[in-house]
Amino acid sequence: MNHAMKSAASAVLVAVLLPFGHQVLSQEQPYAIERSRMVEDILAIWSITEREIGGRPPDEKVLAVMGKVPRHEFVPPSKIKNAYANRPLPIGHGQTISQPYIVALMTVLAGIDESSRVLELGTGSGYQAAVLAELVGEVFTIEIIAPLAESASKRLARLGYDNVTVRHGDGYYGWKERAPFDAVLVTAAASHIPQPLVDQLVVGGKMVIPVGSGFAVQQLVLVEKLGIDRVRVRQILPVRFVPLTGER
Amino acid sequence: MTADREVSRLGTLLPVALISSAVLGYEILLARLFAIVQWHHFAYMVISIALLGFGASGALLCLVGKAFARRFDTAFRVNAALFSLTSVVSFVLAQWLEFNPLELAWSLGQTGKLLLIYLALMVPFLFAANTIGLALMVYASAAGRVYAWDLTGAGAGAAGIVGALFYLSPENALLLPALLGAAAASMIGFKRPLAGLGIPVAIVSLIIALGVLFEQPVRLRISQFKALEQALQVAGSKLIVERDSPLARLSVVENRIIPLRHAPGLSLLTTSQIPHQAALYVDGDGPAAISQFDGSLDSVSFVTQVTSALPYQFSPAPAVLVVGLNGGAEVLQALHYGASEIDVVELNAQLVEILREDYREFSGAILEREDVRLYIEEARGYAERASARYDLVQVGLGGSLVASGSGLKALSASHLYTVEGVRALFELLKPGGVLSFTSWERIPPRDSIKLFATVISVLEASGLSEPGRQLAWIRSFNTSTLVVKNGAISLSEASTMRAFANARGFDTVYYPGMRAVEANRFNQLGEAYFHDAAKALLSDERDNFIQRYKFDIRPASDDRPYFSNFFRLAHVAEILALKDRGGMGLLDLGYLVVWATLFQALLLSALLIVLPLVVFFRGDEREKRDRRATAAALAYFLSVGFGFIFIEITLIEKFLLFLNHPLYAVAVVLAGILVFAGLGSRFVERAAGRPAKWRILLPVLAIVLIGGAYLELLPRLSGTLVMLSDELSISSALLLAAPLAFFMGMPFPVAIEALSRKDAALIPWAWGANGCASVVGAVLAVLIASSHGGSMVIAIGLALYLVAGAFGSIAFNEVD
Repeated sequence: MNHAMKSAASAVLVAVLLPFGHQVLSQEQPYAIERSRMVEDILAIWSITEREIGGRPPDEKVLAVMGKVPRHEFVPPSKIKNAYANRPLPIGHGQTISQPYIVALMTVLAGIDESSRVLELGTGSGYQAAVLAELVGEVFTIEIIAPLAESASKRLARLGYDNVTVRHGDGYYGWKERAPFDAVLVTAAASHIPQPLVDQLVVGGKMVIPVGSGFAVQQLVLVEKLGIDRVRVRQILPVRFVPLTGER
Repeated sequence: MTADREVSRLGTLLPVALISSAVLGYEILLARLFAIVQWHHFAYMVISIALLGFGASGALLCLVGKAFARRFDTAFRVNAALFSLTSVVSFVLAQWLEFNPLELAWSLGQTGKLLLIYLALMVPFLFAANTIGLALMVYASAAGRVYAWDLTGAGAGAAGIVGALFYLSPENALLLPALLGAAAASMIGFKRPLAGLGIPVAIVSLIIALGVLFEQPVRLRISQFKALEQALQVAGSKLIVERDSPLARLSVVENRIIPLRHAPGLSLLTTSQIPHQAALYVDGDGPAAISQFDGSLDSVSFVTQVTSALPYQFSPAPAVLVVGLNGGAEVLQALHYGASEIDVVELNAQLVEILREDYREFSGAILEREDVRLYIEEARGYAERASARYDLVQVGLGGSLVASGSGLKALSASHLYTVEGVRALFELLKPGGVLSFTSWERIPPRDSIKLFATVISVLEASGLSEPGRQLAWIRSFNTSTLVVKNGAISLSEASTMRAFANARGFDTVYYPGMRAVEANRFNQLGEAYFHDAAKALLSDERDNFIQRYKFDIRPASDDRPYFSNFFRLAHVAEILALKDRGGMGLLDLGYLVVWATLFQALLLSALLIVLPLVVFFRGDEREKRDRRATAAALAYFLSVGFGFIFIEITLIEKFLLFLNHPLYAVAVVLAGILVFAGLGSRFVERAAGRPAKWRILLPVLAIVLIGGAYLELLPRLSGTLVMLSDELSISSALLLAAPLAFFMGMPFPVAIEALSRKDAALIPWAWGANGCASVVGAVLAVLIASSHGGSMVIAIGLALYLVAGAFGSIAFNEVD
């Protein structure tokens, strides 16, 4: 009986709302719910792994942005149903859109604020750039695969991210004309940390590099520029895992 | 059943041999093809499961075998022709599905695609198995001869396809099994030589014509997530060289617009520039870099800014042995440090050709220099045989690149990183010389910790009570270099090493007298995992530490040569639970895949074995069948199937130790084992007339006696055999394999022949059960070898033959 009443109430609610609801709202509504679920997922994981990531509390601003950026716009149509699942997804050309938790973690590790200028290497579909764009002043992003650079550029413009500049080309030497940067996010794999990128960081700036494949991040490397010639590298396991049994 | 049909060599046995040859060649070819389009460990899983087509054939023949047997020639011809057709079509279909194994843990859709691939590839194996199973059913009284031709054909197929892969690309070679299948289909039923050869000649010509017409009849669809494919997506990338061999496909890519800059673990503090590089991929994995070198050492000074440069701090102008050519990086490093002589040992001749021919000028002809000598052979064998002594033995990232081919690390046996292998390398050192290992590092640490434990074992076994005095270890954020000195590290050497590391922002992990505060400074982890591990491994706590570590870091041995297996089943649940929390990187997929394969194979095998039972024990058949004897027969065929594959696989793995060119040698030895087993099988018929029980028990006893002797003898002989020339070592392997293989070829056909007189309907079931046991057994053998060693696998194999003997005497007690 109770169940039947609930169904009836829902039906009435839908019937009342439908004629007035804006089409975009009706399309956006399920995604908004999924997004908030995704944020809840990230938050839950965060509380478990907080120690491994250096005791950093979850950043409310970052989480709010993750709850706002339409991730489903950044995945191929066939992957939209999984857009808000806490998992990486293929986006074509052998590239992936990172797991939302890793995006949140990298964003927090970058230590940015609204006045920051950020360089991103490996635009992909543009999702990380969009998240950054909601939080900082300017985002410069470089993609080595031409079709990805082109589609990300159009997508970001369409979604109104006018503080993001996309460039197709070689990211190894950074973006000298736009340097220095408060943070550099490298989302493409690298055999080593490119020195020119460290040069283009302001003192106190941070660089974040995930090591491993798009489907399985091994560690996050955080490079902190402490002085003109001084850097500190931290290797962060994105997960709580103690290699010895019996240790907590 | 027409047990009294005459067996014709040309019209029956040769087609059986052709199909067997085709199917084994096809299996090896699929492994090669999937290694290129996907990754080795998935190739292993896919092919293992597809081979259950043999089990499925048993079940199918139980149901419709009688009808097939009545029209044997037609049934054989149709099945062989269908094998021919589906061997190509199934692979094309499997590719078309675009399965992405990397997403397997994330997406149910990929599991569905995997199942479809299994199904698609099972089909050709099913058709091929039908032909052989049918031949065994129809000619059961001559089972010895049929099985002999089956095994001999398989042996020829193994050796033949490896030979063919020197001349044909794997995708083009895909036509060969199809061709053999077509030939078998055409020849079945022929009575006289040359009679009716028109049809086979026409079919074979048609296939060859198709091959010529479409230069590349099958185009490979390589996973977009493989490093080579990703590199080719980048603007300006050009594929310059592609070379195939049975070992691997080597590809070289250049990009002048967005160049490769490959310098693993390069110091963050360096101002050295990376020269122009070409990217080298092995089966699409990598890259390794071939650096442009114009003779100016300054242009390659970056080689002094990586962790692998550490050993050069110990000895000026050393005589160096470089293990694994890689792209030539370690040779450049040796040149840069003014090495007095440089020996290089490299297994892959194609890689050498690329540097000597295609990239001769580009690489500064480094391999043509007078001070550089090249040895194309397996590193372990070289270490055992070499009389030269060195100041430095450098095992760089190339050592693992070439040894492992690509990615199949957990499964691939390497005799270089075992306690015995490291000892052989260590013994190449002059007094005061250093042995250096550089490896990729993962967090939490695994590879270098296991290596450290291995080295400690070697030094202790040499009677050194304080191994720590000879060890130095540094790391960057992604590479680590461990140095073992043949003598104690002096204070000044420790100080030089510290200065080297500090100047480059590398962390010292361990050196004699190191203080804990020096650890974990530049590349900081949550805790000083590396240093803590080094201290624990050098203390009395070692066994406890190894036991408590969540990855398997026990030193590998020649009997358990799986250095790259870090998987511990006890912790897999914990790791899998961390998947959504960014923990996927903790999973060593290679080994998990073996377990997944075992699980699937067991499930399917049980189904395929039980299904025919439903037919056998229904209605009127129930009354006349002796359940006890049927159960004993099943136990017999399962034991023989497991026993054969356990011993065959492990014997070959043991022979690897003293064969210089593993792949070619393995092909020859595998072919040899199959041919000798075929001879044994052929011999069975000569002993006809004696009670089946004795024809089973005698070979079983011989197998146990010879196998038991090998368990004792092989470890002692290896040291001598490894010193032999290529020809002699292969001949010795064949000689050693011959007697055991000869007797191993007997138990199966004897029992088939006995069944033909007792309960012929069970023959296809036995055939299927034997096929299933071979698949499950192959997987199980790897798992047991990795945890308990190869000797244990052989011992279990021998015990299974004893079990088979016991069940055989119950099942065939009354058969004369």
